[in-house]
Amino acid sequence: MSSSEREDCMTEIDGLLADAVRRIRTRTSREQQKQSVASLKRLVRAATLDAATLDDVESLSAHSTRRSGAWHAGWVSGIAAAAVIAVSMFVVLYRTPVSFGDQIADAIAGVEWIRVVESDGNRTVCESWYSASKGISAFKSSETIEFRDHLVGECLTYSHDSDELCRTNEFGFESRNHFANLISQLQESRQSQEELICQFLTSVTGDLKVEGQRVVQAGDHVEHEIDAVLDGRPIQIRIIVELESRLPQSCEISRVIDGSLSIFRKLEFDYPDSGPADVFELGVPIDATLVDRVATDEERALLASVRSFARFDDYRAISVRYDPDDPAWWVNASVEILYRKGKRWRRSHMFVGFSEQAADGEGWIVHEGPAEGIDMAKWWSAQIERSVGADGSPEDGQAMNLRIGRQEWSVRGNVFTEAPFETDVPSFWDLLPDFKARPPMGGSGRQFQGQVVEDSEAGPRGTTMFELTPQGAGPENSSRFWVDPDQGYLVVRSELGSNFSTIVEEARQSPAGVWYPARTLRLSTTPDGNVRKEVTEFYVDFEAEIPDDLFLIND
Amino acid sequence: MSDELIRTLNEDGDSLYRIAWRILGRSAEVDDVLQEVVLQALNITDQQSVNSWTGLLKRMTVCRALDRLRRRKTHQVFLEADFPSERNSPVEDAIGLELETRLRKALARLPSRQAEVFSLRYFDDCSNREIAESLGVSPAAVATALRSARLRLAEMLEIELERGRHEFQ
Repeated sequence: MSSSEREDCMTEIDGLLADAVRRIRTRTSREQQKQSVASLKRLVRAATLDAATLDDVESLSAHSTRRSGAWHAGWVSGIAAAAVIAVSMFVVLYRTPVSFGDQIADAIAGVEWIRVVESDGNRTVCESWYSASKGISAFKSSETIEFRDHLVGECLTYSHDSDELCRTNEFGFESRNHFANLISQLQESRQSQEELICQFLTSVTGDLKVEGQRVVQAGDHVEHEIDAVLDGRPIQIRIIVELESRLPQSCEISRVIDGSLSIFRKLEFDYPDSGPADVFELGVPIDATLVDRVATDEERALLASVRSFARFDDYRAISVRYDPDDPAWWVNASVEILYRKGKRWRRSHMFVGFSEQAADGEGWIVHEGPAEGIDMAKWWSAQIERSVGADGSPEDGQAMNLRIGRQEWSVRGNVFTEAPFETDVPSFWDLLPDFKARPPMGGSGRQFQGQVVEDSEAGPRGTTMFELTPQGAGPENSSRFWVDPDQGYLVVRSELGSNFSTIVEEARQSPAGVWYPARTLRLSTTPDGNVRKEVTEFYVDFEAEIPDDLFLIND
Repeated sequence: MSDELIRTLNEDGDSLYRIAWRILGRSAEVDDVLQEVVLQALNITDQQSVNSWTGLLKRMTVCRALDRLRRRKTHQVFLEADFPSERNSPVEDAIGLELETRLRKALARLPSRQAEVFSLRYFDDCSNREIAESLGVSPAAVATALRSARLRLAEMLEIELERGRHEFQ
């Protein structure tokens, strides 16, 4: 900032405020400047040392520091975030044609709390609160009260029926939660207006098409009316926005019943300076039975360590998957070239030809397989040299780009996820050396109970077992993961129920010291009792040059 | 730890220290805040790439410093005395120190977003555009928050002054 601009900034204020600010600004003395340099140098030195130590024990810093919202990926979801989604709708609706959405987004970004009262037109159905700056969302209905602290990652849910207050880790989303982020994401979204409105109307799933919009100024308010068709039936959405503040005040959704419009959903917004401080302020009886299902520190530490895959080096790798019992395994193997550079990956399937039609046109000649004891990395590299590659699918950590389009996905690998194996994990999660033996394992919560067993006799020596069992289910339904602390918390063996297991048969270290599986064996039991085997081998080259244009997305 | 982070800490260290000091006025607390920020930054390097470490570190510093300022409200704060001023009399210095204390107290009572915006603008000389980029909002939203912050702070300082006059009388 130039000196003239700095002067401008001081001319914006006067009186006592200007005196106080000027005083503080001029009091940064030479001594303090000296301290700042020394202090920062100390910190950087300490932090560099910490970083080396943290490589294998990410968990230490993970739970000693409060998670802070704005810099973590993830979505605010769930009913309690209805307020956010609802308000976002305004942004989307008015991005075009009146360009009103940006102003509304700006207005909302500056508020402390948003409170939304939802009714069916006659009676209140629920109330929601949300504060992006405090990282809190809350929800209250006649059946449930929920209070989520996104900063500490804790969720309290009270059920009127059971009079139980259940305390769990916050699952399913992490605390990015900054409202402005959500708004900007919506503004940048490639989704159509109709799709985003459908997202808002999740409780009324169906095809929705916007047919027309009107904007009317009425005193200090602006009324926006949208005509739409939901599942073939006309509906009308009426949104009232305060003119001066640009803040939405209410939203009514009506449909035609017996020839006249009837409100079936109404949202009323207000923006108080304060909101609920805890779950008891929402009406939970102080003597409610507390059911504590928060994961133990041990469990959290273990899971956080397993998920430290993000530090993996850049690479070019050949991945080969085959059935080890197949006599012509190399012919039928699935071969891919994988690339990673920073947070970008590319995966290209290779068509390796090992057979050709006989000269007389009768039958096929199958080429020789690899001889015993040869360097398989070199052998596969040679085969790939003469192969044809399919179009690669570049991927940037947010989406996989295929010829058929961009498939959005969100892997919350560093996040506590209650169910083992997130539903939206892309299929190739399991096909990359950096992720293969670091699966999302789930964690203790309302539906699952986790248990950490050190030096488990059931698994490889020296490993720690993490067992996750659905509440009320038997051990046959449990998932078990054996984690090896000596190999960077690699999951060296896993069992999902009684039907699937994966064993790391050989592990190696990247130049940065991160362990990865070089060879795994997956066993799956079919319904008729047969056991199928699949070997995956990774030949990883960390020295290879990885050009940036490999990750370009072809439209 | 990313090279980019280390480089930014080395280059912008003074600026981070200055903004934290302006908010807190106590070196020991500033050290604590910066340590917290560095640890938090380390966590972030593991989880995602960062476009602008400078912006992020500044914002983290402001947030953590404001958190600490708010926690102070229950106990007495002694600001560090400055070197004796050549221009001001001891009485003027004492009044100035009192004014600083009151502004910091008022800042701690502002809504988070307003306090953040005010600190970045007046304690770190950031332009509205820079603040907007750092917070992920538009410059217009920054201007709105800044205006509210100025009005509320001025109002709180006036109220404090009035109260002081009454007590004195």
